[in-house]
Amino acid sequence: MGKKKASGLLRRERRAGYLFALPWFVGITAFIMGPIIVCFIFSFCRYEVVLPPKFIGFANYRNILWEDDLTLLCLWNTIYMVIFGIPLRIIMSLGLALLLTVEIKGLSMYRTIYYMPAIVPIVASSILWLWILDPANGILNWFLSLIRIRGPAWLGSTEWSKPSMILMGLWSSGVNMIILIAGLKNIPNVFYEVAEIDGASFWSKFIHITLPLLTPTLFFLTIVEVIGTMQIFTQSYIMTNGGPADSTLFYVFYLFNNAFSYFRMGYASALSWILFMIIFVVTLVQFFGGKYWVHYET
Amino acid sequence: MRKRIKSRLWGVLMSIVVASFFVLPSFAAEQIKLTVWTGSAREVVRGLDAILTDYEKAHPEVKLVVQIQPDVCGGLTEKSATKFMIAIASGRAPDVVELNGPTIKGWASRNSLTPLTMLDDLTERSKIYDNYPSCILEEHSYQGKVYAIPAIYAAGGDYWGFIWNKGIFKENGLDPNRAPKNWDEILTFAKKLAKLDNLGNIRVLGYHPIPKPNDRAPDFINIAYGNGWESMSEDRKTVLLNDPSVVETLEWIVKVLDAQGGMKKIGAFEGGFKPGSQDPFLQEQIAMVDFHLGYRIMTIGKYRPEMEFGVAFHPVKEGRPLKNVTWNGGCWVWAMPSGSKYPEKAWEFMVETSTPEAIAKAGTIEGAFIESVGGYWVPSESIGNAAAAKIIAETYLPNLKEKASADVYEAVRDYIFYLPEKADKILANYPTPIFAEYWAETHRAVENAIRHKMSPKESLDASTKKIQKKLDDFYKEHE
Repeated sequence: MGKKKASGLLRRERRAGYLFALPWFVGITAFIMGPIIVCFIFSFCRYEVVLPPKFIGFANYRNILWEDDLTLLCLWNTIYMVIFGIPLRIIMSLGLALLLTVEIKGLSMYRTIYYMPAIVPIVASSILWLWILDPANGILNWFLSLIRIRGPAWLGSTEWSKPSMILMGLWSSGVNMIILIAGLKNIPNVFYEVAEIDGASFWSKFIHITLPLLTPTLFFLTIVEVIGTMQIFTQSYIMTNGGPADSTLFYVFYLFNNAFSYFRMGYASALSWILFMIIFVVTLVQFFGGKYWVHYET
Repeated sequence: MRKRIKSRLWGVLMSIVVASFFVLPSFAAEQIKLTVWTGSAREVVRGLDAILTDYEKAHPEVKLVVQIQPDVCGGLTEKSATKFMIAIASGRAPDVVELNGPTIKGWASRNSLTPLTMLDDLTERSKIYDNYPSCILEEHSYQGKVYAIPAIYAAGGDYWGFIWNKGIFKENGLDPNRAPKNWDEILTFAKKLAKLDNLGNIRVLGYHPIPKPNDRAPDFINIAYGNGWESMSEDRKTVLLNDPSVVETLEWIVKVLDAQGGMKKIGAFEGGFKPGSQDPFLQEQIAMVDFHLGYRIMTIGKYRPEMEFGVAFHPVKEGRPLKNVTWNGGCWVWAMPSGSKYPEKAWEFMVETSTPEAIAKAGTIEGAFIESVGGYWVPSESIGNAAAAKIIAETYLPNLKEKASADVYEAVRDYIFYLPEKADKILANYPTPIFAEYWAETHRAVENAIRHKMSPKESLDASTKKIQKKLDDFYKEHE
């Protein structure tokens, strides 16, 4: 009798649980899993939205990998941002985090100031940086002119367009900085005290205590940054339209152009699956490599 | 007796009232709801509102549902038209849509538009198209069928040409009333007009042939067309982007830019270009430029009406026989999407709102409104319909002569109202269904050459190969 009663209650609870989970389940099925599956199918089709899709096997993948030289170019542009942008962003965030863990007056105010750019929407910050980097009237070249340096064309130059975007990325390192501050706060003080007794210098403490114990946080940041940077799009879309001379034509921007400028949805789907595979492999490699440099406190 | 009659009358009256509740809605239901997507709101554009109102009055059986869709109608490429694409795919397309002319072939090739078979009759076709340069019909046709007609008052399109600053010419001892005769003379003038600051940065650029950093195609096309280029073969199956005339044009452009400091300097200079009142020509940062004529004259009229400037067709290479060459960058059109519920009514609407009289009325009303709030009206696009242009010009031009400077007046008269008469040859935009790809690849070829990533020939060859492959694939798929 008691058992029967309990199972009735369990059933009701289970039903309520399913009901509560239902919106999430419907959402993920309809808006995430559905499009992912459809995108995979379309990647084997020629599909222009207004006409029914037509199965063409691996033709899209073959074209992307062997015939389309722009794929390679935009992949290189994207990898450039990963190779040069991410280390700089992490070094910058780490520097700020180290400065902002020093107990000084007004610390929370400084933290707020450095964090604020991170909450500026990317569209707004892109437009702001268009003005800052304006070669003729921008504030950056004006500062350089004060010290008799002729500033570059920034976004108007093939050599400087990607570095300009990296520079812009440094400005919004606030999120990484907050995560690193949390990581720094997590390091037990006892290690520093012991090191100080042994007469360790600041540099020595940083190299032998801070950095090793911060590696889990750095590992997390590296993974998240790589995934994010491989999908860089908005800056290029708003600021340069992929130019000059395709120097900021990033992978996702090229994918977008294929989908929405040229109606090549099948081709764009294949591009997205290749990007997914690249990110997947890179992340796996990072996880594998992590074994050798990430130190977890046990 | 009287009372009884009175109460009966009341009864009848009440019955009528009650019956009307049931009967009137059924009359209303018989009204056809014609959905029209436009690029501008009728509440803002008085000229558009006037002709739509005329149509509604003449056709009480039709209820116009006008929906403003600037993204759909304003798109140069399909990028902006996702909404239209989805509407077609889901079978919820409007009955009539305003589109940008060059996109027509692309939509038509994907069965998104209804062919206007009523225009197979040549008399019918001539009624509409005889007032336009022949390239307009080419723009709206695909595989021998017409898919759109020029729409309302803006149905003229964009023409490209050469503009120079008379003030800077005077300052540098050049005759302000004479444009350079040919390519050589442009270069000579450009060197004379250029100014650098003490750090060696460009302060005034003598001449910019392709001044839009994110889109080099339109001005490049104009100069290449002047050099005798046709963008596609007669059968529209071969891309001619590496034709010798184009290679020659690009070589000349590279030479002109290099002679003025090269793209390192010019790139830095043009990075500061802004639109509207901050436009580099209006700010006297460029002395001579190739540009969209309507837009340029409009911005001068609006922001610097006192500016002294001259307008001409772009000078051609010395020895070229054809002088006044320009191209039509596309005009606004009415098209009928596939799945239009009332094709007869849609066609009737398209025709009645696009007659020369309707276009003239819309233009006149728009102009009068702008004049009533001060200033004067400079249409941002040329009035391509010759008959309509004549009607508007009768009242508008004398008025403009009184109000505007001589330069603005002459530019509007010659290049907004009567450009087709002045031109020796007007070519269409890229007459191909893969217009967007061709356009993007042209920009790419020009960029690669002017930045010395490749020679002009190599760059154009590479782009031609890519476009040709896409075109071949396209025809393989769609024919």
